[in-house]
Amino acid sequence: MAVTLLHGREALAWGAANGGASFFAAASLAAAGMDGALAEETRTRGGAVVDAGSAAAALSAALDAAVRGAVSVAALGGGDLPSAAPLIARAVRERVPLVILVEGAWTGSAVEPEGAAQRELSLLRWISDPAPALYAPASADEAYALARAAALAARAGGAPVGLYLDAALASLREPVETAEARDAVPSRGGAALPAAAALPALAALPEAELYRTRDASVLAVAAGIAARAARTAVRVARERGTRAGLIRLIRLWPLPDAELAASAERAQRVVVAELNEGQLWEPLAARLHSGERRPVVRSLAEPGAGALPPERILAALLDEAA
Amino acid sequence: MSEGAIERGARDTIGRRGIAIRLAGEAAHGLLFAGYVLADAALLERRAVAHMPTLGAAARGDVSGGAIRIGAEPGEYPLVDQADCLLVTSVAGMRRYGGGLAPGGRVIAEESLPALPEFAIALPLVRTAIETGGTPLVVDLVAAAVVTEMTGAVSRRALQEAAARLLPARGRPAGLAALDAGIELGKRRLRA
Repeated sequence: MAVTLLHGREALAWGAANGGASFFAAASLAAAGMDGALAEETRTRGGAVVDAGSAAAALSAALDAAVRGAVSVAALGGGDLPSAAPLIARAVRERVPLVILVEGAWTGSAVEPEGAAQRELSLLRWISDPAPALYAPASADEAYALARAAALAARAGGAPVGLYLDAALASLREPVETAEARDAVPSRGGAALPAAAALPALAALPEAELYRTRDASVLAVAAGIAARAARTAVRVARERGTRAGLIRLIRLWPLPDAELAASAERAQRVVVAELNEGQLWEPLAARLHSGERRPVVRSLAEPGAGALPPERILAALLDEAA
Repeated sequence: MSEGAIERGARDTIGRRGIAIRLAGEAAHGLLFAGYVLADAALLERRAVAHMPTLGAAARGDVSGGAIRIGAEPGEYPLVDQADCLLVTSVAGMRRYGGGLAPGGRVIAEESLPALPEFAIALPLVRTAIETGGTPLVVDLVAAAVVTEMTGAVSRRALQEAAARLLPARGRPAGLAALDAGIELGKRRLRA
């Protein structure tokens, strides 16, 4: 076991590799965090890494490889989704075991992606019916673990799985505990894959993280980088005497019903902290309003707002609790 | 706030956990690398660390560097929107990030920069690099060492180990000499 610093997008790619992925395709390998070391590692295992030139070509190549039995990964940018939609829909319909990595598009500053949006969430959900299971890690370490589990699921021949990483987290370098198969990333030299039985299955990983929700009267619900801002806001709200809590969505689709229902039983008010135009609010409000208790559900979505700092979420939590 | 002004943030912002460092200078100053060294040093000490290197257009443009948050609460906001320590070696860096200081935040600036605010700590970063490493190209290591000494974000030992690990063999003697000089510069400033 080793700890190394990885960009979020690298963590996705290496996590999938460690889970057994043997075929990678991206419109741009460099942009997808798939470097020469990953290519070398994959080739030593008899796999391939393909710089496909376009998202549709990458997805097409990955689909083809998956149909032929490879544990296959396609990396897409958020802006690529419209062109990739028909192929994703096909993968879902035909239950092709495919890992789809989606990196959110940058917005606001072209310099640093602090103002990253999560606009693709809606598109990913509605792209096909039924939608692929969609996860949104909130750290490089979680990205690694989820991608590894998604690749493992593909090894077992399951339906496609989407992993969505917003631009800020994709670019951020954070410590990642790499798994048993490698001492460090990159290892070079074709380390043996861990046995499937030794890896946690996707279904065994949590669908949501609850933070101080037990007695919360006001809840924040968020995913990705927004959830980390929300966690800071909840901590400070608690320090100021407000019974705030956070549901961090790890699986976005299908929504983690059990956690939502249990929390909605207690909280009177819910603040959806999202970096988009309300794409999360809509399904969440529908779900939270389906029971007997109907908490007030407010969205912090603001078109073109850019970053969602903890201060804005804190203000909303304090306002709702007042 | 006027563009380019260095200002400390409003008092009503939430105090973030850990220490937030931002480095910004000309691409030739190599502050991008300084960020990698600081982040690796934090990792060696098993501290929580989040590192956002300057990427994309900026890496090819007039500002290079990055932002590092060290010692934050795991799971909390990792991005540096207000720096506790801003180190700048160029006017463009100062212009871009001068407005992003935390309340009580500290500015360490190359002494030759014009119009520094009164509270900025002006230091001969480039001159120190030339005198010790023989080239301004090692100002990144002077900067990393000064930040380490003045913030205590990582230990000297971890910084030296990280630098030794990341520096290519050919540049190691000059780089490590610059690192030592930066530590001395930071110490002298603290004593003053």
